[in-house]
Amino acid sequence: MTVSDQKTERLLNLTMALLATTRFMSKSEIFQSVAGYTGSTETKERMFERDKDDLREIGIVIDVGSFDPLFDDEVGYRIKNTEYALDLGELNASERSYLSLAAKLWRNQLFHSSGARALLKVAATDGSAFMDDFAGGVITLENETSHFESLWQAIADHSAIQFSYSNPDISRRNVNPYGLSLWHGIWYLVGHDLDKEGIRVFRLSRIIEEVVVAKKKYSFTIPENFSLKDHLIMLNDQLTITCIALIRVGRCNSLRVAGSVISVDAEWDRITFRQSTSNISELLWFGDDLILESPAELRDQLVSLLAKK
Amino acid sequence: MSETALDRVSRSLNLIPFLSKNPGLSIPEIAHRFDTTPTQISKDLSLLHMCGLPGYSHLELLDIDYEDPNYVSITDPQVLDRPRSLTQIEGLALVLGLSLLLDLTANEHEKEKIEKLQSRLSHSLSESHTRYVSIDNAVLESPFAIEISESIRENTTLTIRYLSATSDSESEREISPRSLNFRDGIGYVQALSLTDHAIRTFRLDRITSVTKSHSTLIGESITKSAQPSATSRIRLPREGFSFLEAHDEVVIDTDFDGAFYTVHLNIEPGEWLIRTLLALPYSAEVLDPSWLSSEVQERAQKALAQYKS
Repeated sequence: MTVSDQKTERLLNLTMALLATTRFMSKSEIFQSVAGYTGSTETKERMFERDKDDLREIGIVIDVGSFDPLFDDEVGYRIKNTEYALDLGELNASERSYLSLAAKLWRNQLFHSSGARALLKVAATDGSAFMDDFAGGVITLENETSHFESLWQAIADHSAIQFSYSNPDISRRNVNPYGLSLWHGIWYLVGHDLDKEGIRVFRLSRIIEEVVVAKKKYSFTIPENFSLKDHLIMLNDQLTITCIALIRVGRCNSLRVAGSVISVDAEWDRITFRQSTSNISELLWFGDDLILESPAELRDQLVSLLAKK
Repeated sequence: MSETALDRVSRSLNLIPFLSKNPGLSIPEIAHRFDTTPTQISKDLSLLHMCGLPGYSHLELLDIDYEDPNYVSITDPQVLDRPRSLTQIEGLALVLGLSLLLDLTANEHEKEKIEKLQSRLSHSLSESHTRYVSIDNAVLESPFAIEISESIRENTTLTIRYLSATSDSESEREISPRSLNFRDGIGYVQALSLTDHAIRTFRLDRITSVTKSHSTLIGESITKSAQPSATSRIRLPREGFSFLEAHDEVVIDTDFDGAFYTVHLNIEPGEWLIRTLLALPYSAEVLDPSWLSSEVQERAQKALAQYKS
């Protein structure tokens, strides 16, 4: 049995003992009853201190308290089941399948492996592992990028990062990463660009090669009033205007769904719809099946683009 | 890379309740789910076999049966009958996944159930982690997505009304959906179209209605959608960068000379390409085939003529 095996076994025994006890267990009780603590008192003490830190490192909350109200000089330990264990309550079949759909959405993405681990835990509460295997009909979001793990770690640890960015010219960027956003199907990184001295938004698919994460943790603080959404709104052209156009009867069907249509004559209908000022492509798509009447500026823009084709 | 004792402890604490609720899996199957090797799982099991509660007689030890490597079971998990609570990122994967699902259904009752589930999960999430990720407007609203995914799971057929942008027409089709995924925020359904006996891809946002149909699928002969028999070459200015990003699935290769992209496209020069080129909000040049170039120009001229009369 290797040293690592012994340690694994001791940590598991300790976790189980602390879960099983309802009252606080003192150190001497632990040394006496939990398998794996051997050697001099000093060795055992050192072992136990390290074990406690290790369990806390993997997120197990160890409660420290007085095990005897009359002698409060000696402390005791325990793990509360309510803090330790997953408790989702009863899940019915449809709730279970929503969880499954939700976890499996993230193919090849930040949440791909964490979603899978979450489902394993759910299956460990209700024995539904086989159901997941045969649950067809998954919906997946296909997104590029292999940078998630390192970016997420840097964001959670508040570590500075450096990467090459193609826009399409390639430049080296130094950024304090603040957060990630999935916006209209595309992942963006929002952060403080140290060279440009301001908040910038980066498209993840344009980050080329590896992201270098600085070793130092907590090297910056995110401003109290910072909100990811404020910076993403700039990407979204919110400006829409009312347009009026003639459209050929029976044509421009996808536009008809979005506006109100009145009949003009046997050949033409007139449609009123909202259109983003930057999205002229949608109108060009319909060719000679659409004649834009207003606004005049958009009409001029359309005419000049058509003339250049 | 060899695992630390802590990695093994973390895995074991979830492995034990998982096996006790999902008996009968083989060692390789378990390894696959826990993202490790069969050798490692065998080692874990022989170690766990010796762990238990103080006393450590057969009454207190974990009762694991893995003599038959094709059928592993745990009859007594002792206090480890429940998995660990979700980590922040695991919880986030589920909570964000559920909020995405809200955009994938139009059914109010269903939305309510998803929201309830979401609030049950989110009370355990720390506020700071939710600040790091935002998924507002992550995908185009697709009210029929969940309904279609159910149809895939249950292997049923649907009648849909579909707006084709390329042919600019609405038609009714009977389909047997096979898969559903989102690329760049737009949902696509791959389905067997019973109307024309072929595998077709439909954009979710162009499906205007869905109703259950009751066709059976016995003996359907399927013709695969044809591979493009011809390719096209176009020249785009610098702004063409975004076109390349959006259509990388049809781009064979690109060459950028500092001012222009020469792009080789793996797509039949047909209606879709003609309209796409017409709709580009800048001038693009068709290098090959030449008829495509004149077709785009002709359509632009026709559209332009409407504004002159």
